[in-house]
Amino acid sequence: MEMQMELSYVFAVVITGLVVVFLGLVLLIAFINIIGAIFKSIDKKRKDAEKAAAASKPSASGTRIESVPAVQPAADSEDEDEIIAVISAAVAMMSAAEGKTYRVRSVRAVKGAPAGNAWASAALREATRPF
Amino acid sequence: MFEVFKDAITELAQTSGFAAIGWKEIVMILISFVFMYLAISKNFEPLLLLPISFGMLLTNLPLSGLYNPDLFIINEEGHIDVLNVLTNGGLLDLLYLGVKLQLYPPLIFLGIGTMTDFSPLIANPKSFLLGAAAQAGIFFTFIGAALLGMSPTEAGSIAIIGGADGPTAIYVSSKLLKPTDTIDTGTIALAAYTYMALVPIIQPPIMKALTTKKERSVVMEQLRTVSRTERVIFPIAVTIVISLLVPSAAPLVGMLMLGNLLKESGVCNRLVDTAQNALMNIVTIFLGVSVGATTQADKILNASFAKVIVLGVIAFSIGTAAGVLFGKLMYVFTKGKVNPLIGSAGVSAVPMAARVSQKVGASENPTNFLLMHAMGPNVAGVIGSAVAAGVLLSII
Repeated sequence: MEMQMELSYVFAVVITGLVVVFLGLVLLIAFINIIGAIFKSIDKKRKDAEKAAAASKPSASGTRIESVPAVQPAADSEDEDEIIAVISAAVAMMSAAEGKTYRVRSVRAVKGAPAGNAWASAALREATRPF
Repeated sequence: MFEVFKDAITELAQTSGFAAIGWKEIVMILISFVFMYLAISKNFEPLLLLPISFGMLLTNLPLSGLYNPDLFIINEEGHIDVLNVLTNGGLLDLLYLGVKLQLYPPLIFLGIGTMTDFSPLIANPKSFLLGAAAQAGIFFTFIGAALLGMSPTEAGSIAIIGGADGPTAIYVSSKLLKPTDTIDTGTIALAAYTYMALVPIIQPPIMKALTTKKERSVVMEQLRTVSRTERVIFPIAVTIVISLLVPSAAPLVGMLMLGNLLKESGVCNRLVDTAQNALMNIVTIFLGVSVGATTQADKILNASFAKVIVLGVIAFSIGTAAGVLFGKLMYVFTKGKVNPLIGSAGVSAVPMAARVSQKVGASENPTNFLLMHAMGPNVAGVIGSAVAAGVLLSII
């Protein structure tokens, strides 16, 4: 059915459509911002109350709690041994699946590799597959 | 005895599909093979394209009687005679009732809702603007279709392809198109899903052409953590606001948000599991095969089909461009804090369009993680296209 549309009707559809879509989503932005602000103030009040309670309550022994330095990481060489063991296990699994035998002769950091965490890079590759 | 045997064989040959098949049906069967190839070998939206292409094959096998479009003609009372379809319809006619009665798309949206995380959108509500801007593809394509002399119902059905949302496209076209129109829901669905699968090919050149290297390299600030209460309130609020503003969008938005509320509430795990797996899969099969059945030779092999293909890609491209241009605007107003590449994700096609934003951004800076930022406009695009659908249904 070929029913020609008047240009005024076409533009009315286009303008109404864009205005309503923007209006609807702007209303949602306003609503989310209001809700967000309410929750932020609730969170702030709760944190302030917790802080006040912690300050007014002395510790049982009457001594101040000092910040404790974080646990020292294991020695580098121990870390490296573990990494090499994990890499060797992964290679062994791969070689078993392929029916071939590989030997890990050395493990070196790659120079010029993209910065960032290897797990994050793996996740990125997974998320952007298949292109 | 030989004469009886000969007559029986002759009779059988004359009443078989081989005798009734014409060149148009053969062409359509070959086209269905192309779509099957794209789905199976190229992984083009296989979950929908494969059932659609098989439905196309079934419907073009002559005399099978699986799908009879004559049964869906609107009667004098203004609706289809459902009893007649139930009594005289073939298998695909019965399944197609779910499309014609606008049952399947909202059910698909229910499943999508259970799989969607709106946190990136709640954390950065400005993303809604990008989701709205990308809907420009829908409305500008409406102008193009009108200039090509198409009827309002045809123009609206083609334009909605720009929303890059298959269920929405099917919902709108099945509601708008009349039997007298030269295109049908199947044509729209095929074009929509094909272009959605081609998002990684269509979008990057447009994104690169409209942005500078500096803009593409913008690293955005990490999004804030969204509380569970906010995530629970969000679907309720969206349902109320959108349904009051555009009541005809309520079935799609309402089901999408119900699914999301089931998920975010954390107390309906069994329902979530059913909605996102069993129900979604069943509806997908029914929707795909019955929509595919509407692609009968007479409806596809005409000039209107070519118009759908051309206007569909224009709709996609304008939507992408509008999203990116709005992203550039936000880049200027925020003094370089927004990467315009996330604007292209406003064309729904979840999560493919967001992945494309990530991919194009990472090609400039491999350590740039735009994926979650792009998910905001991406899910906003789903809501935006549902609103746009409601507007088209209200006006046309």
